[in-house]
Amino acid sequence: MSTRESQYVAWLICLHGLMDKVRRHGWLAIEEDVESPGSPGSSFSGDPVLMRQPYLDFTRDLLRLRLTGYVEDAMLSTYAQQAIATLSRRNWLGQRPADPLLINMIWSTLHAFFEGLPPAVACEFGRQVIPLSKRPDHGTLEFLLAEARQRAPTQAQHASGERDLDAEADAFIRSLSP
Amino acid sequence: MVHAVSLFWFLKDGALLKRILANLSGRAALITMDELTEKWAGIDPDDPDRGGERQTGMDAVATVLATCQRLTACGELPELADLPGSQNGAAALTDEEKLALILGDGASTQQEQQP
Repeated sequence: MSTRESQYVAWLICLHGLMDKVRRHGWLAIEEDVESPGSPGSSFSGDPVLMRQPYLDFTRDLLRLRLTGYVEDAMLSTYAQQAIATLSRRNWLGQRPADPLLINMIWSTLHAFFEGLPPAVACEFGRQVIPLSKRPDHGTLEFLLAEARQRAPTQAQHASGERDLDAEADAFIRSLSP
Repeated sequence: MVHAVSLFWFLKDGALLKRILANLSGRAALITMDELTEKWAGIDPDDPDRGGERQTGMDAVATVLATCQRLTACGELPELADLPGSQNGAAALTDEEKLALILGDGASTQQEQQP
């Protein structure tokens, strides 16, 4: 398996794309990616490796919590550590346990980004978790991230739900007056 | 966010509520609307019998204003006196008027900010 095909690198490229989108367009820009990872154009849909569980849901859960704005970063760390502990136990869902290095790589990268580091620097934190035999050197990863960035579509879409929140807000305000 | 829900009830300002909802993530907006409806729908914030609950709303206003004052001190928000609509002087405004002034001016720029 080449560096380019490694699941670790595939995930770093995906996370870099998501983080880059957040940096450029705000958190709302990745809501559709998080809610519909399999939809065309989603950051997760580019590589089948990214649809594997539990890694996909682990990532989506973290981003979803961050997106709501309800959870402080310290609480998010606690949440992530609990999730990692659970996923790393043997016989997860009766199958082999999740790869703890991949789970930790995803969290290390996102955590660095949540702490305010730029996407490329956050990916460097994730790179250090990759086992030596599969770890790309800094220059190679930088090249792969830049290559993926050129291919990525530029969009910032706000996912709109099926509910009409404007109408609900109006109805709510009307209900307040006797 | 819990305070924010009380805030929207207390202020009874539909336009402001819609602007805030439009600048939340879709999921956060749904949660906020559900919480607001469940907790406060049909309860008039001006009802004198609701003194305790009004206090919750006033506390929410004070919390948001304190945050705004901190951001103003850091230079991340303009001075209240510099906002359009404060020509009569910020000191003469009630807390609710100050808040409407701040949120009304800032809401359109929230799209780029983190949740």
